[in-house]
Amino acid sequence: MSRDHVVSSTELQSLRDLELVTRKSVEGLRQGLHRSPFHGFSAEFSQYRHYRPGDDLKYVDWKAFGRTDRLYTRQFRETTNLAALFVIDVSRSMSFAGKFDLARQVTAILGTLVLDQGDAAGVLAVDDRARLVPPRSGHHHLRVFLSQLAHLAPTGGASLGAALRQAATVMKRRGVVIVVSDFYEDQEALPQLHRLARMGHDVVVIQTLAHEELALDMGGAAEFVDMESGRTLMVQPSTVREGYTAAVQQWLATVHDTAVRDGMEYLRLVTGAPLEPALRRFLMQRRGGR
Amino acid sequence: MSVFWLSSSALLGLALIAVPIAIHLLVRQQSRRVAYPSLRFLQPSQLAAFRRRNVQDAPLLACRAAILAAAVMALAGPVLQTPSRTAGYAARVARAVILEPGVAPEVAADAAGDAFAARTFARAQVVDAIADATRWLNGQPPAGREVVFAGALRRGSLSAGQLGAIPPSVGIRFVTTEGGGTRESVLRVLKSGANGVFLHERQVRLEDDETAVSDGVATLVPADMVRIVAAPAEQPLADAALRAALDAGLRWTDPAVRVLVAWAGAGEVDVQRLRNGASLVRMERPSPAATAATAVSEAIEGVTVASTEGTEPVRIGAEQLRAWTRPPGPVHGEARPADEGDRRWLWGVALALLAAEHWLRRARTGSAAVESAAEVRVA
Repeated sequence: MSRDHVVSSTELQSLRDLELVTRKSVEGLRQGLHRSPFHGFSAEFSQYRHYRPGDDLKYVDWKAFGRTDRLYTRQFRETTNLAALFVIDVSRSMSFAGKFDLARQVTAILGTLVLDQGDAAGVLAVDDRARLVPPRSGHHHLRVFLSQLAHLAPTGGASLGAALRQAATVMKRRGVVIVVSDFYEDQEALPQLHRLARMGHDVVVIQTLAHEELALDMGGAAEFVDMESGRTLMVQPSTVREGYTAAVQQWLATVHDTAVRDGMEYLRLVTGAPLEPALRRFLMQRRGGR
Repeated sequence: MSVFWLSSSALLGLALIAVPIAIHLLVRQQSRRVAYPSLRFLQPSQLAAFRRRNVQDAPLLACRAAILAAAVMALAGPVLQTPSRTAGYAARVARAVILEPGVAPEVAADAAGDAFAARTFARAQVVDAIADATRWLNGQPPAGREVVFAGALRRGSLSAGQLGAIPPSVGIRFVTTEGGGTRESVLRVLKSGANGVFLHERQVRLEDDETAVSDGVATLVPADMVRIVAAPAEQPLADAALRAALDAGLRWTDPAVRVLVAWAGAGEVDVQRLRNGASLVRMERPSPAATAATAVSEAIEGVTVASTEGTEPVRIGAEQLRAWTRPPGPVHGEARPADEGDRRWLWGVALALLAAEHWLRRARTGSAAVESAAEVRVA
């Protein structure tokens, strides 16, 4: 499966100079780009501690000894590799106006970046059954990752909460959990996200929405059918648009505030808007906040 | 038991029920369906045209169709005809109640009784009231017909001739009301009229009012009913005064009473000779002479004015009323309840369905509002 099936090479190439780094400490098995909760002896100074017999003398800070007449050993933050799990919402609401394509595209780009930088990436979606590609690294895994993405389709019921519950069991060590959804299931999803954040995961919330559903941008009265429940409603968009957009904006603010309050990263992507600048800004912000 | 319709053509209106259903189906075929991620932020548009094509409004549609059906059937006037009901309709009576002026309207209701149709006629002239009542009764559907006279029914207020204007097939009944007395006091006064004629004046005085009614009979006055005697020199003046008094008219006690008027100065011998059993009225010689006729008239009246007082029945006698009373004649034509039917029940059903429809609408609106409120809280 070529990566071109889910993401254009031009967009990928334009972001190749960036990397997805974590803003929290993650637990990896190998040395990598990302901060580890364990202190080691790598390049990045972390702190002093009192010398203990057996410490390598090359890490003893002799200047400090000269000033204080005490032996201190320099500790360095250990960097490790990253395990990123992409949780994709495959409920039917995601099939509206290219939202799922956008979700798949951003997942493919970020997953490719993660794998290209030598970290582990996996994908999880739950519809009638769990579809999981566990986080692994290596370029050979990219094929599996993208193949799974290509086979996903937004045909399931509302199951984002179940997917997040499963993500908590999949991510045994602290890593990055990137959730791509429209978050219409926020009542079930936000508590699970909060739980993941409390577990120490670096949680990234990417809310993908269609321009049409933000502004109710459609004319003429019609019978609206809920893509999740099948419920119908007769609506004259011109008469309810004002109240609708206000309620949607309030809802978006609630999702954003909740995510940020719990220490998550929040990124909203809207169909039709250029993806590359938004992602670049997002990745640059993460790198800057490291 | 059978059912017939008073206006069966109105049943064509049942086709109206198909209209909302047809609109529902036709519009539904053309309605645009939009798959949408979530309806949680959408409010239903309160448009009747949309509601019609909403599938979940089927109970409401059925309720409204039932309202239309009930209304149309009510207009068509269904009649459930049972044997007992037919018999009941055959026995029914339409009553025209003729009220005497001044009779309380409540009397009309009592007089109408259990009539299936009743109307009150109160005219100044009973002849006019009878004509109106007859005309109204002729317009009634097949049924027994009756005219009821309600009032004091005073003597003279009705006559057989007047009642003759009522068709023989129409029954007649009388309802007498209280008040006005049953008898009246009568004062009869005799008065001598001009040219020797007595006027028999009848004054009626009802027990409870001041109305006087006069009638009278004429009787010839005997030539020697009243005589006058005076001094010989004044006898011509006295005779002239008596004639003038008689010409003006005098109240008179009784045709059998004779009066002798004696002026002062008249010879006693002549008085006794002429009296001959007559009542004697002595009086001063009138002075001046011009007042002689008045003086004579007053003098005689003081003696002769008298009255006989008695009582007479006020109302038409019960015997007479019984004689005039007759039952309603046989009903011509089939006595079908063509005037009422059972539409009132169907109107009631339609009203109940309207209430149910209102309740359904409120329930729908309420549940939609609750859903919206819940969604807002969730948001």
